[in-house]
Amino acid sequence: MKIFKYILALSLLISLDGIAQCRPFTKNHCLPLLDGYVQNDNYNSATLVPGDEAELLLTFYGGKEYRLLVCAHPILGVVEYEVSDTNGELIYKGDSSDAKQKFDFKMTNTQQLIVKLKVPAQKNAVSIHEGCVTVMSGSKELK
Amino acid sequence: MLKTKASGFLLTLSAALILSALVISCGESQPNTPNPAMNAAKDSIEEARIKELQKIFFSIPSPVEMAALIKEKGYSFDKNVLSPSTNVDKYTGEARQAISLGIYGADLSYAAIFDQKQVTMEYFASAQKLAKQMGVDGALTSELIERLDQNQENRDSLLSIVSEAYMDLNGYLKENQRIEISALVVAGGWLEALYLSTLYSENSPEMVQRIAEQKYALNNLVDYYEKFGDRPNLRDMKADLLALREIYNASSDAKGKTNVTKDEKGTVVIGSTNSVTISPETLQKIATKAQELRKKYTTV
Repeated sequence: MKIFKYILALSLLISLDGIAQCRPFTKNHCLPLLDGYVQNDNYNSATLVPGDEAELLLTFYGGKEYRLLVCAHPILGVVEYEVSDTNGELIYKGDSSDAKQKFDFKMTNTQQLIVKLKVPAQKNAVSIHEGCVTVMSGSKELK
Repeated sequence: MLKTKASGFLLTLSAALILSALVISCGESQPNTPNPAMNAAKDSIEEARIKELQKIFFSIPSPVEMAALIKEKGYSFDKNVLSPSTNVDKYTGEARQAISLGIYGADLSYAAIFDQKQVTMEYFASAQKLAKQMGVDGALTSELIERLDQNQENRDSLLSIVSEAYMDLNGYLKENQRIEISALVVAGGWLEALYLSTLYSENSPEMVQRIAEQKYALNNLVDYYEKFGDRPNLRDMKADLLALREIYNASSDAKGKTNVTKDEKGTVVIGSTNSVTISPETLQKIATKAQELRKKYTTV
C-alpha cells in the first residue's frame, strides 16, 4: 500500500505540476528581454513537457507598440509559436530560439490575437524532460 | 484564455504508473491488452492537467495601459480619485483583501505613470501590508520598496518596478496554490482601471473607445472565472462581472479582416477593421455600474 501511495503521488506530481517554480526563470531569463517596454502585469509561465500545446488569447490596444516574447528552458528544445487573429489568419511564426523569440509589432487599432505554443515531442526518450515556458508582452507608446 | 493539449507520452506514462500501482496494491495480474482502467486514468489526468494549465495561462491588459491613456489625454493627477491607502487595515476576509490588493495595484500604476513618487511609495507600502496580512507577501518584498526609493526619479523605472512586482505577485499566487486569489487580484485591478477611465471619459472619444474595448478583457475575465466552477471566494465577483457583461452586451462588435504590413523600419504593423462601439447610454450605464462596484469593494 505504501508503494501504491508513493507511485500515485509521484505520477500526479509529474502530470499536474504545471505550476512548478518558474518565477526565477521568468525574472532572470525572460523579463530582461522586455527592456524598453512596460510589462503587462500578467504571469503566464508553466512547466511544460514534450508534446504539450498551449493557446493564449491576448488583447492589444491600438496606437501602441508591443513586444511579444516566448522563452523556454533549453531542455525542451525549440518551442514553436504562432500568432494569429481570432479568425485563424496567421500573422507571425516564431520559436524560442534567440533569433525568433521576440516579436515586435505596432497595432493600429485594438484587437485580440491568439498565441499558440508547441513543445516539440521527444522521441525515444528514456526520461521525461520538463521545463518552464513563459509568454510575456510589454508595451510602449507609438513614437 | 488557454487551450492545451497535454503530452500523450506523459499521460500514458502517468496512467501506466497508476495502473502499476493498482496491480502492486491489489496483488492481481492484469492481461496484456488495452485496459479501460488505464484509459480512464489517462483521461482523468489529462483533464486535471489541462484545467490546471488553463488557470495559469490567462492575460488581460494591464491597468498601466489605461492609466497611460489618461495621462496622454492631458489630464492631471488627482489623488482624491484613488482608493484611500490608509484603509488598508480595514479590509477583512480573504476575497475582499485580494480585490483590494488589485485595486491598490491599479492605483499604483496610475500614480507611477503620473510621476507621483511619494504616492507610489505610499500605495506600494499599503499593498505590501495587505499582502502580508493575507500571508502572500513573498513577491511584494521590502527590497522592492528600496528599489522604488532608489529609482524614484525615473518614471520608467517606477513603472517597471510596479509592473514587475504585480507580475511576480501573480506568479507567486499561482505557484503557491492561491490561483483563486490571483483571479480576484486581477479582477480588482481591472475594475479599478475601468472606474478611473470612466471618470475621464467626458469629451474624450479615445477614452470612450478604450472603455468600449474593455469588452474584450471582460469576456476574457468571465471565461476565466468559469474555469473555476462555483467557488465561494469567487462567487460575488463573478456575479458582478456577469452583471457588467450584461451592460456591455448592448455594444456593437464588428468583426473585420486583419491587415499586416511593415513600416519604413521593417517593423510589423497590424491593423484590422475590427471595432467595438458603445452608445452614450451604454457608456453611462457602464460608468454607473463601475462606480457602484468600486463603492462596494472600497467602502469600509
